[in-house]
Amino acid sequence: EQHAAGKIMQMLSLAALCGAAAAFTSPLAASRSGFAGSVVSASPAQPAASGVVMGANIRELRDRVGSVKNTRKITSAMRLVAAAKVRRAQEACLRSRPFSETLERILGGLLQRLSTENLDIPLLEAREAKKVGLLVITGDRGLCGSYNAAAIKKTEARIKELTSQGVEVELILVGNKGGSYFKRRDTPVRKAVQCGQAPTAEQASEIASELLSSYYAGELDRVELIYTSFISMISSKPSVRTIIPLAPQGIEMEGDEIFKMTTKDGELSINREKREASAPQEFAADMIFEQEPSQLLNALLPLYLNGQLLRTLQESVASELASRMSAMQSATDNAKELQGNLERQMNRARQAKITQELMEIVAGADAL
Amino acid sequence: VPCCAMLSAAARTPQLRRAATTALSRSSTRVLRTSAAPRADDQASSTGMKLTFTVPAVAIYQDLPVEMVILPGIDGFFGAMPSHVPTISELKPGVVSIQETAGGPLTKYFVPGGFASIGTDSKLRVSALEAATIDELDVDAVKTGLAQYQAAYASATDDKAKAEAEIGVEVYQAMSYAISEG
Repeated sequence: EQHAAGKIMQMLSLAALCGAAAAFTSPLAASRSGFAGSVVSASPAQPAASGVVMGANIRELRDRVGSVKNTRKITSAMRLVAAAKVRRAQEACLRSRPFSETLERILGGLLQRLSTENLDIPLLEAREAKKVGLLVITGDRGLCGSYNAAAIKKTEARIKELTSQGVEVELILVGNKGGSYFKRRDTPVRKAVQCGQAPTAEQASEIASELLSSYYAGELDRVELIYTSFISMISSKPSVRTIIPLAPQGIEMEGDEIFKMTTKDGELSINREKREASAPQEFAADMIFEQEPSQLLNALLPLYLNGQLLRTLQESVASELASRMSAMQSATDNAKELQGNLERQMNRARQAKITQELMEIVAGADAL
Repeated sequence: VPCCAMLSAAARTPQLRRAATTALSRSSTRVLRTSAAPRADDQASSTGMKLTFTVPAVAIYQDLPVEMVILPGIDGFFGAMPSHVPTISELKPGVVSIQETAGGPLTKYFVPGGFASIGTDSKLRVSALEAATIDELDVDAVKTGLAQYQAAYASATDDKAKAEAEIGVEVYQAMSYAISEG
């Protein structure tokens, strides 16, 4: 121990000869006259003045590391919960396909057969739009990245477009986030409902009833749907679509897109699959129409709308969950990085403190 | 026994102003029957009829060979059997009875309205907004509902209220008939 102390004292005197006191900014060194202080490298951002303050700094950092660790656990858990729910949401989407497929087929067949006739079907007739309803689908909760914000932004843009064309706009809101945002704004809200994590046929029915009755009564001339569709793990796109009236030729027979959860390189990821629209059912020449074609269509279209609405709700919920997964993944990664940085800082501070104590001991021994 | 109160949401006539709402969820689970289930009479199904019975949330029957289905068409009940002439019909509130094997028991579902189409390929497609087995219909709720809508019909002042009450009466009457039929 004496030898060690002696060695250090030798180093001290050597350093004093070098006289690089000016390079070292620590007040610690100033009182030690000329120690170059290369051992206490650290970062200039650690201006520890005395042992007491140094300890407090370390304690602070330790607390911060603890809280970041907790945050990381929470965001990681949220991500896993969202992942489990996405699977369920997907399955619900798949279960509701047969209903829509069947109706698309029949509708396609009917429209093919009746395209030449002059039919009185309000749901197929486009009329001059004086009042447009916007059905906006958002989520109930946050922490899902840009999912809600994107839909709301798109809605605001569409409202602006329509009002600049002199068209009145009313909102039908699904999801608390959209509801609370537009509640305190100028555009009148016709109806606001919750979205929920598992959309049911009853929910879709309720919304469809409201839309249909307003449309038939002439209170709305057109209804557009704004929802966020999922593209990939890092991007989702809000889109606008007219759902009422249904255009006779393109009766939303676009192919369906479903997304599947898979693993890639050991990490959860999501793939999109496109599915072709179902072909219209071939109607035989001797097909019996039990009722008038227009009556059939008038009865069929609301059913079809119901099915479409349910599917859109389910897709939106699945998109929200996928966005949340993605957002929580980023949050977890950031927390991990931050934790690493803080721990490094804490270690450096700890080492600085130890070195300082050593130097005090040495100096004290030196003074004797 | 969960009770089920349903009103048809289809606007059958242009005068109808407001589509009635459906209410209540049921706690029983749907059994998805597909033709993947092994059946003894599969050989006979080459000329047989395949049933696809769907509601928005789920497909109750998906391409299952059945012997006969009785459907509540608007203009009257009709039975669909293999090689039925292609038909398309709207359904009124009533019971869809499905007989899977010849001479076998009937499985009954109450629907508040819907659509049925039989194609040239002998495929029967039935679509409805909701479907409930008869056990799921609560007798008391149906009685109360029927009385309520009958009273509303009697006291209705304008066309719209009358039309709504009429739908209610029709659906509840069909439900109580379905329960009494068993």
